[in-house]
Amino acid sequence: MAFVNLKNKEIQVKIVYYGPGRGGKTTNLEYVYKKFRKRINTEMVTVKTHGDRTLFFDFLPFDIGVINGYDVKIQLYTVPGQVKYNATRRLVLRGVDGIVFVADAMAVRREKNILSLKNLQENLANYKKSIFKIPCVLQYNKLDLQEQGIPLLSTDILEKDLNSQLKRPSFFASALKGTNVVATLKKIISMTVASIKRDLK
Amino acid sequence: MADNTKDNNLDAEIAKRLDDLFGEADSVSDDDFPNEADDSAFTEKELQKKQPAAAEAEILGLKEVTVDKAETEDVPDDYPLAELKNLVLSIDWEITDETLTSLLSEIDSLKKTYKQEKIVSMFLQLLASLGQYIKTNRGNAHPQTFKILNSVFSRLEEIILTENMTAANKKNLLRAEMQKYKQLRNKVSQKKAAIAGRKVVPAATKAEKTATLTMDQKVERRDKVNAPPADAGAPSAESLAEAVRELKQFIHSELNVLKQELKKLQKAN
Amino acid sequence: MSYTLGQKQLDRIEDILNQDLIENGVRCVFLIDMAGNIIANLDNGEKQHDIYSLAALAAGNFGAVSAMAKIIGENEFSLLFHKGKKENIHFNKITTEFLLITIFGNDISLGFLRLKVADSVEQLKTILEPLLSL
Repeated sequence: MAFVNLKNKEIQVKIVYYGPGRGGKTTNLEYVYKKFRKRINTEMVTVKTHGDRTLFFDFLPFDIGVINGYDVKIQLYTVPGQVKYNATRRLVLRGVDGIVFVADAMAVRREKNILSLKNLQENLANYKKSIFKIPCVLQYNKLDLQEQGIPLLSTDILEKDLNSQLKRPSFFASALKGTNVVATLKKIISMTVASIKRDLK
Repeated sequence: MADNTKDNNLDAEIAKRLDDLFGEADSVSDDDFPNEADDSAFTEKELQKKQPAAAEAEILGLKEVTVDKAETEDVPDDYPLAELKNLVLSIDWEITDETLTSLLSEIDSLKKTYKQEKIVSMFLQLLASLGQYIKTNRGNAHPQTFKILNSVFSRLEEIILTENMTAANKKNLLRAEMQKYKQLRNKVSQKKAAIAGRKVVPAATKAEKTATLTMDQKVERRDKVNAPPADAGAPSAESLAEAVRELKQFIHSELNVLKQELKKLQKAN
Repeated sequence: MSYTLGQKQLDRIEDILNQDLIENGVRCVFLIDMAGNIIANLDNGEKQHDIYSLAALAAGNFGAVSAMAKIIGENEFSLLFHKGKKENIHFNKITTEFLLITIFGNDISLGFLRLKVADSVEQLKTILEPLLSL
């Protein structure tokens, strides 16, 4: 639920990175935070377990500047991917404006991707939101493992499993190396801000 | 068509902003990143170093019950102030009419128990006066009131629980609390006057000052006249009784002034 | 789905928070929605906190505690308050969508703060409730 502040001429936008556990959601944010530290003056908040798994959420706010006279503030969140943290995922999804679904491109994670997407759909429905309407970008992460000989799912399979009905923009990426991390982020911000502007009309 | 153009403009503007933000200049080069096999790019330690305030954010524990020193000491099973303590602590957490009514009622009951002990009676009277003030004003009460309520109660508890405390010590404790009470009263008057947007009415202030001075003078005089040695028994009953009477009158008159001012304010609103 | 607050509404919100809370000794107060967006924030000028992180965590915290309440059969808890050595933090829900968070020192009693917050909430409701029907 984007908040428009007419007094400060500001729009606050919430984007959530969703996906199965260990898929690379946190790594996406960490990459953005590291790479653009000089420009993003805010700190990243992480609430993790001792085993370095996201426990509650990661949070990275930043300003993207003035668009159409409004200062647009983006808030990136990740959710904990482990199955047992569903209640937390649901909390973090509250008021979401745009979603990046980070799928794990490793062949062994095929089923987990599908289950996670289904879970996203259910949790959105909880807030009377439809996965078919909310701005969404898919990222097929861990491209870098290919060169290590680890079997990855093909584009066809990933698209068929996850995007055949949604038909959203998708990117193969490596969050660790940064490949297409920014492209994904730019796309979702673009889609989300445009969608909000349309809503406001 | 026009809408399409507008949307295109918007897209262009967003793209430009994002390019500005995520452009290559000023960003850290990918070559500067160590190649790690692990999913997470940071170790926990690094995160803690870089985000001292934010890393491993913990939800603070729920409030422990705030205890005064005395509570941790062993108290007798038939501790006479138990219920009063309960009520004073409850007020710290939540202010309800019910609690305040119970407080005033408990103080009344304790006054009967301690009617022979003048200093304790005066402490109870202070508590009653503060309690009544809170009850009347609730959210408009001066914030300091609650601190003073707790402080008066703590001193009272000290007196009750400390065996063989000298009368002089008791009087000193009482005097200290009276002083705080007076300061609060002054602050309240100033606050009311400020809110009402008029200068403090000379008559009222004079009356207060006179009352204060009278109280102070009488206390001083009593001290000089009685000048009890350090280990003496209770000060003369008569002078104490007089002081109690004066205190009561003083408190009543103050409450009346405050009530009238409150009524005026309510009418003005 | 988005919502908008105009200059007058935001000014009025700030006035309420100033008069009821900041002027009564509260160090910092912020009004957020349950998504973690900051609607208004005021402080007494003494200390600046990272309010964006605070807001995100506060919304998460409140959400988590509300979920726990439901699990144990409670509709909601009437008090959410964390006590520190010097600073304390109090949460209060306003309608189903907003949260008022106050940070205060030990010079203000919790009971008194709760009274003042209750007053503020009543006034803020009149401004915020109409937004829910949008």
